[in-house]
Amino acid sequence: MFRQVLFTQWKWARTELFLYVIAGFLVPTIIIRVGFSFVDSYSTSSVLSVGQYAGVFFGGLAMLAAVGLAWRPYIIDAALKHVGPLSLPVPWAMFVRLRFVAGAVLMLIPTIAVWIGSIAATAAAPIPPTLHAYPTGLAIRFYLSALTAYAAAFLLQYVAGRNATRVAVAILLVVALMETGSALLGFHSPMVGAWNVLTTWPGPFSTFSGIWMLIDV
Amino acid sequence: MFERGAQTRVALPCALLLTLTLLAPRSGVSQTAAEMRARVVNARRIAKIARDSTDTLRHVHGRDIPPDSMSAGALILRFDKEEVPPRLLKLLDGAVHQAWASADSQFGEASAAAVNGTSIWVDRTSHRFLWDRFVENVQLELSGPGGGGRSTGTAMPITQQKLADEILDLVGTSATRAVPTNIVTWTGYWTPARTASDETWKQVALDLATSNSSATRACYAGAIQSCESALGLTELKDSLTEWYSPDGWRVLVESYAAPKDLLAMEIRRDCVEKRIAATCERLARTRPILLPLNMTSRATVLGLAIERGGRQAFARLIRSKGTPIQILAATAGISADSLVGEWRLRSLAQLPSSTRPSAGEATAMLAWTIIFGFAATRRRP
Repeated sequence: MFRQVLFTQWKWARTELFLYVIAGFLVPTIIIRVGFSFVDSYSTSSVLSVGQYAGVFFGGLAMLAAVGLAWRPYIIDAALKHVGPLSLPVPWAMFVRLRFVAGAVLMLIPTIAVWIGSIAATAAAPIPPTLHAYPTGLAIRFYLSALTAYAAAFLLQYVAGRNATRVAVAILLVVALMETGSALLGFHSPMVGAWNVLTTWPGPFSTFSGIWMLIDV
Repeated sequence: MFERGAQTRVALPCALLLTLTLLAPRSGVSQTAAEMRARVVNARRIAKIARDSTDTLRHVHGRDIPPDSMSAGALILRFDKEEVPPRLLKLLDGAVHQAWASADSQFGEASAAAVNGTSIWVDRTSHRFLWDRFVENVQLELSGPGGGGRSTGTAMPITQQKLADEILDLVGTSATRAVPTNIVTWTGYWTPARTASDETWKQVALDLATSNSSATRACYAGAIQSCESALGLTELKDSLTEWYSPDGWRVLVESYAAPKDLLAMEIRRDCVEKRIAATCERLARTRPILLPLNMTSRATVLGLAIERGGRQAFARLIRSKGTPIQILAATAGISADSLVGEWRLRSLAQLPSSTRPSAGEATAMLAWTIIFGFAATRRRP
């Protein structure tokens, strides 16, 4: 059963997975190559800033891959009014669990691309001796971050159902309104506190606010 | 309600917006207009409090304040008891005893000499701002027997730890008066009055790992003589060539503000772009040479020497004569190489963790993933 669900999700997601793999594999090399051609590689601060750019890219890719993998299966099922899943001889909760685990397994594909891409990008880079490349650490952070973001997007999609998009837009609108209101009235934005709770350990998105440096001390 | 294509059209921009929102720089890095406005308002309040505190301190100095309103060991606080509420009195009592315990363990038998007959004046101010917001500030001022001193403030929330830290900060200034002049100059007019925290060691580790000096890089790799040179403990004939390699000269020149004069720009280009070492050297010599390791790093060496030397270390420090490296070795009671080697190992041990998430971080992430995944199964379409 799991194999069948995994295969189906692979079939639906393979095009976007291919794009994530290409991005995860090539973009770090491009960032490192282009970055190093513009900065003095003897300067630690310059090298660190190049490593930071690569890290920011990985953070964005993790989020994008997570949201893409979480939403697509539901959207396709919903288009067919969930006839397929509901006609299966397994309870809905079990089916959702299988969908969830299948997505988490597929997330390993861009993670491996990120890992290999980072190794390739930093292998020939002239890094000062006091700095080091962290391709494995970054790949682990990528997977954990993508997994949490995937779980959050999956929860939003499967709980809000067809209203998931509206809920997401409503959240963004509330954030934007509160930010604008606090800016106009000169108050401390309450979003800063909420943001800190979400992105500071043990908040769900704390890995995103951690160290995303491909090259670091 | 939504067709599949329409949903995708809405979902993709939403995903992109969410991504950008989550990847936006943290509040510590950048600030929104609202945060900036709040900070400006806050800064104005702090400025008012500081102004009022200074005025009150002047007023307090003019009054008859008992010479020992509160004391712990040789540490004396002076304040007007009528002006200090019982809650703050309790905090001050705890803080002065905590600070003395720390100073006593740092300076040992010479603790009294470190305090040097000085007393600390305490003043408290409080204000009520718009919407009844209460702001309290405690100003501490070091006052030596020969006059002069410095002051420091503690803003809300006032805690025993914060007050003890500020008192110790002033004790460090007081202790500096007893230290040999060449050590005072070498550490940047500062004597640590407590053992360096892990955070301080982390700053030193970052200083060591990110310096562009060739001496520091050799130190990082394990050359103790280079550590001593980078710390400014050895006699230097030419700091530029001894601290920096030709590549380092170029990085130094890059760090200078770009000139506006056309000829100067051309010369700078010769160094930065054409990488002509002689030009870089000439340009680098036009400015003071950047220290390979900063004063915090130096202060941790002195702190470590005092820590390693035991309870008699500070007494030896104030009695010692010679070059800074000789005084540090005498203070620590071990050879300078051993002291600097230990300093290097201790700072490198505090290098910040790499990109790899910690076990706690990974556990939290997996827990959130399971919670979200489980919650998603609760609703049937």
